[in-house]
Amino acid sequence: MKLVSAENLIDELLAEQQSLTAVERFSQFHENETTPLLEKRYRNLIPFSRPGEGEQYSFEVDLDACSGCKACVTACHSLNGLDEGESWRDVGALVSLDEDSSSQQTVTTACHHCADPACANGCPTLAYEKDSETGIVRHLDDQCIGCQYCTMTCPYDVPKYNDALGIVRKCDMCQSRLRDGEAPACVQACPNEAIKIRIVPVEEVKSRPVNGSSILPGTAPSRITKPSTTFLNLYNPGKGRIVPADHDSLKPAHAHFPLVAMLVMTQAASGVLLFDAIAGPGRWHTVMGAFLAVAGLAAATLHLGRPLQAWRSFLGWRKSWLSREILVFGPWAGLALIAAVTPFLPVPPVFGDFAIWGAATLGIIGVFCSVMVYAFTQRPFWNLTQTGTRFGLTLLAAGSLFTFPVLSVVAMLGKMAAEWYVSRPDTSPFPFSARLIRGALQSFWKARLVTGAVALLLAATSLVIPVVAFPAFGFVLLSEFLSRVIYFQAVEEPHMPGGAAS
Amino acid sequence: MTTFSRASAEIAKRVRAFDGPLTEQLVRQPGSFGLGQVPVSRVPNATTTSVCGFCATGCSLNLHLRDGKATNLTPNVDYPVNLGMACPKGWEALAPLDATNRGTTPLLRLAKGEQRQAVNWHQAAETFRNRMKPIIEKHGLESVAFLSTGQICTEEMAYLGSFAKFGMGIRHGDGNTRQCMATAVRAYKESFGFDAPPYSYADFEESDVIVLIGSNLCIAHPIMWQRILQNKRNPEIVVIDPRRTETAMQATRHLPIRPKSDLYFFQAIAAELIRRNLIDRKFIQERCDHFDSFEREMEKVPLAAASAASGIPEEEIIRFVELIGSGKRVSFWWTMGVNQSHEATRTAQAIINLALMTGNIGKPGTGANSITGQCNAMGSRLFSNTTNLLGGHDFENPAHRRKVANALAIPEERIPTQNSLPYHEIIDGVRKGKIKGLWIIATNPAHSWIGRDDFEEVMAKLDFLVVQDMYSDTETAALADLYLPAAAWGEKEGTVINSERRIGIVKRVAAAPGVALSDFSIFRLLAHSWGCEEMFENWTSPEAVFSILQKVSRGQPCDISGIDGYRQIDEEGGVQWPCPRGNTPPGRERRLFEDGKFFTKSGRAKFVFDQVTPDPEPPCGDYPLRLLTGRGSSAQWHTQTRTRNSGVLRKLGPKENHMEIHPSDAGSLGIYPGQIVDISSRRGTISIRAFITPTVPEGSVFIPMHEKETNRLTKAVFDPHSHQPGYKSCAVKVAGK
Repeated sequence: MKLVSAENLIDELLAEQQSLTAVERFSQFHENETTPLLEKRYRNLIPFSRPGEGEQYSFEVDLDACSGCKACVTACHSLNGLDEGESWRDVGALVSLDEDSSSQQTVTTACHHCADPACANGCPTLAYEKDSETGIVRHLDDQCIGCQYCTMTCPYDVPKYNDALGIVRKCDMCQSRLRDGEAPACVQACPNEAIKIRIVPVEEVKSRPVNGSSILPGTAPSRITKPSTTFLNLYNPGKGRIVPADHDSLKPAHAHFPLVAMLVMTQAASGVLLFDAIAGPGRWHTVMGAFLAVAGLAAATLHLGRPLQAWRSFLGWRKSWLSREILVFGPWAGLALIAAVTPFLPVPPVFGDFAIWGAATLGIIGVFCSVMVYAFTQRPFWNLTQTGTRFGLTLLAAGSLFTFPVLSVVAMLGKMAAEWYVSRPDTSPFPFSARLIRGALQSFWKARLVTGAVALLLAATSLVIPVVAFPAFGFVLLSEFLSRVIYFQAVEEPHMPGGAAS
Repeated sequence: MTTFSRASAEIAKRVRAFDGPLTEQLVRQPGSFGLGQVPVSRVPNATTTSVCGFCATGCSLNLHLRDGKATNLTPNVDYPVNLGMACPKGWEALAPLDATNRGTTPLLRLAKGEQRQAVNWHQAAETFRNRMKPIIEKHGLESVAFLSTGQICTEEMAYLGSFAKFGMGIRHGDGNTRQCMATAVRAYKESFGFDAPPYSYADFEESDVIVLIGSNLCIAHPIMWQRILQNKRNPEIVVIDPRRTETAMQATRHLPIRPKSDLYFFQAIAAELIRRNLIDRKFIQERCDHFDSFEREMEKVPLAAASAASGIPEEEIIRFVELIGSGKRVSFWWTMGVNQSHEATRTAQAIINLALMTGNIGKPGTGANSITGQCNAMGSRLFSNTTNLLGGHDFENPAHRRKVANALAIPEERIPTQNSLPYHEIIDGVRKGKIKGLWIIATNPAHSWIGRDDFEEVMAKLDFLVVQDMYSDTETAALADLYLPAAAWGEKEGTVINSERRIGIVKRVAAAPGVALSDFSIFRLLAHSWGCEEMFENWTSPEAVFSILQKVSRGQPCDISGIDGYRQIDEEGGVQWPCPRGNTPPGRERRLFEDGKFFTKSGRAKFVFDQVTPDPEPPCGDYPLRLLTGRGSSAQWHTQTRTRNSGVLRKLGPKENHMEIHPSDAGSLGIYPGQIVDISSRRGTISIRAFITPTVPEGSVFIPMHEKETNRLTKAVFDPHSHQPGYKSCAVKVAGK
């Protein structure tokens, strides 16, 4: 026998390890096959024809057949070439709270391709298109500026922000596959044939939601977006409440710091400019107001995934409060700057008057738009009263501090009292939020109270020693910043049922 | 306003980007090869198939290749096992290969406590020899051992076992299959005369009554569940499991027996079948031994007591008895709920006895069927040269030794005449200082070993620990003095054998990172360095070794000598054993015992039985709850070394370790949802998040096995016959923090 040296053997083994020879060593099956081999399997799971007039595609999930294997999620990821960890489908579970007849029900879920999609209605750049033929709600990736507003307006947590790309992406029901008579990835991959595509009349989808009904227990009322998905055969042992498996999970939502900064600064600036207008122009704090206005808008761009595309955000003005907010705050900041600089320029004072009153008016409209941006999401904690009170009182408290300090003190007291009320788990109309505020968010809450109290004290002192209004203003901003972080983080985000301990 | 509105709509239309670079990223286009549309970034120019490297279902995956390298995959539509479907792990089989924590070079620790340094393969192989040989010379052949695995190819484990026992001459080696399949092996050997799971997956489709015991099939083997749903006979599906699992939810009947009451429960079933004469006396008389003594023993089992012990009402038990004694096709399937227990072998045999006494064996839709765990558990059982001599032979049988020696062309005296120590006695040997050198391949006992609290301490007693794995940072690999970087599934070639005895092909469709080598090449290199190149002269490629194994298998129940090489296996869609010469074409889905002949000397099956033994650690005053462990989700595999390297699989598993507890237990302990609690056994305490759910029975808590903390609690008890650890039960207490 020939003896190989160890070195030669190692070289041989390393070379072999790097050579890929499966193609040469084994047969190529289905070389010329253009019809999908799986077609036989899924033929009955998708419609034979395209949707007609007044119809759309929809997902139909047979819960009885879903066994929780989650193949649909991975298939969506692989067959659509998505990024690491990205998938348009998810699997969660519903559980029964009945101790005598324990049950769990796994739930596969994706975009519901709603008849009245909130993602599209809220989008400032018209980056969503509800296809007129298929009813598929498609996201236009190149149109997206990464503002993530749709992740707040969708009550099913469908659009997902892709950090690396700076845009949101979502399920398009594999529209190109359906066009060619192929099943969507998830439909193809379900071993139990639990997911089907059905054609449904759009009017029927719109008329389904009655009396606050929802597509599954624990999900948002269907009236908000009129989802087209149907879930069949929900297991119900009869007694006991069915709830999402993650119903008691208390997770703080995203803090969105740039938005927090933007809201607090634009509201403070709007207030300062408003009260400066009332008190008469040419005041030194107008400069500060203008600075805050510009800084607020600059902070907002930090929130965008693709800030260079932000110019598109006027497009959605007909439906989107976010678009309107941007349209208003742009000129507002311009007027604020003019109002700030005119006293130092050789121009007639009427310019200044015009600018500051213009800024004051637009500021109020802008803050109103801000309120509507959040109220539009229909998240209970962000309802019109909550959001209106918070944003309005921020405007008053910060805005009147230099010119009408008594009003500022009253506004601060009122706002803290309202927040205190909401934070008490026993009495709060928003128990989920209250538990978070006194739980995971308690350090923010305590800091908010302490800074708020300092702001109050200083503001009261400024009645006697006006210069103290300076630090008081700083503390107002700081405490309002903390309060706004809590506003974002303590919100209960509606979503489809999640998994155990996930 | 309308003009303005119309104008703005016109502007909108013009400035909306329906296309562009971001949109193009997600375009799909026809993939050819019968694939349908595929992502534009991964359009293949060839495809090939490979059997999945996770579990023993043995699904075939169709790999989408670009210039020979796999860029994507879809489940293979042609394969008789999975019919075009896969579970999440299969879909994500390629993701773990690209992980940044892959081992790329051998690492050597020069002295205890020092950092490991990169060395080349030459140094690694020399070190292996220069450290192991002196141990053997000084302390004898029993002082070095190896721990093999069910996760590498058959040819690789055969090479490992042969090199270790015939080449190095060491005596002790066991596989991690001891942790999952040893019970089934032992039970089958005693009852049928050979380790022979009798079924094919087609039996799922042919049954009238499917009984799933200690098996959460929907989560652990989703593709087998698919086969049940293909059953057109409207089967009754009975799940016997203490927990209301996903599978229990899907079943037509759920019998939530109390933990550790299973043996007694099945004995009561047997007793009732006899009392009601719902048994196949003709089959028993013609095909089975020891029924009379079995019958006499079972007569002593009172229904009422079994009902009380199991918590299943008598009338429920009787309904179940009538169902399986109805003469319909009944198949019994069991998994870890049975195998991992202090009296596992007798419990498995109690199930086998039910199949035998009702004549439910060797016919379509029947069988006493153990579902295997790892992708190559069966390869390990037959060809790893650990518990059995290669090819399901017996080390203690001189005729077997002679036959194997001839087939391998090695001197007969190179073959040990004694059996290896089982896994736990090897660990014990290390603990007692008898074993001083240990070589661990593709398994992670520092995470998975039962009652592992002192595992690291025990390993520290070794003079030399070698770990061979695809990752250099597993809990076990981190302990190694010498770490050998292995190529993974997808980076090497060979065969694996699935639960239904199907031999399938694994192919090389990706280059290994750095200088990682396939386990096969590592064994070749180490054998060469050891000075055994002559003995393994013909072991030059996996396929060459496969043909040697074919020769070894001749005349055995697992005879595979009729297979015509890898290409035939690939083209047939896998080949089940047996496939002796002349058996062509082998047939796509075959079951055993259709001729009524078993592999015992008498050719008859045996009723094997024993009395119920006491629960080794029942809940008591100090530790009032029972800890159950098991699979957490379909997206997690064992110690998660691979599945945690896929973003999608991470997303699909629980975010952190959690303990499921019944609402009434949570209530009486004052535990609120999501609370971090301390759970303690007599071995240790871990902190864990409570998840309150009525799907666990009162008095029990459940923790998934995938987090390494779990096995700090479990109690090291072993079935006396199979030596398999009893992971499924120990006593614990829970306290809020």
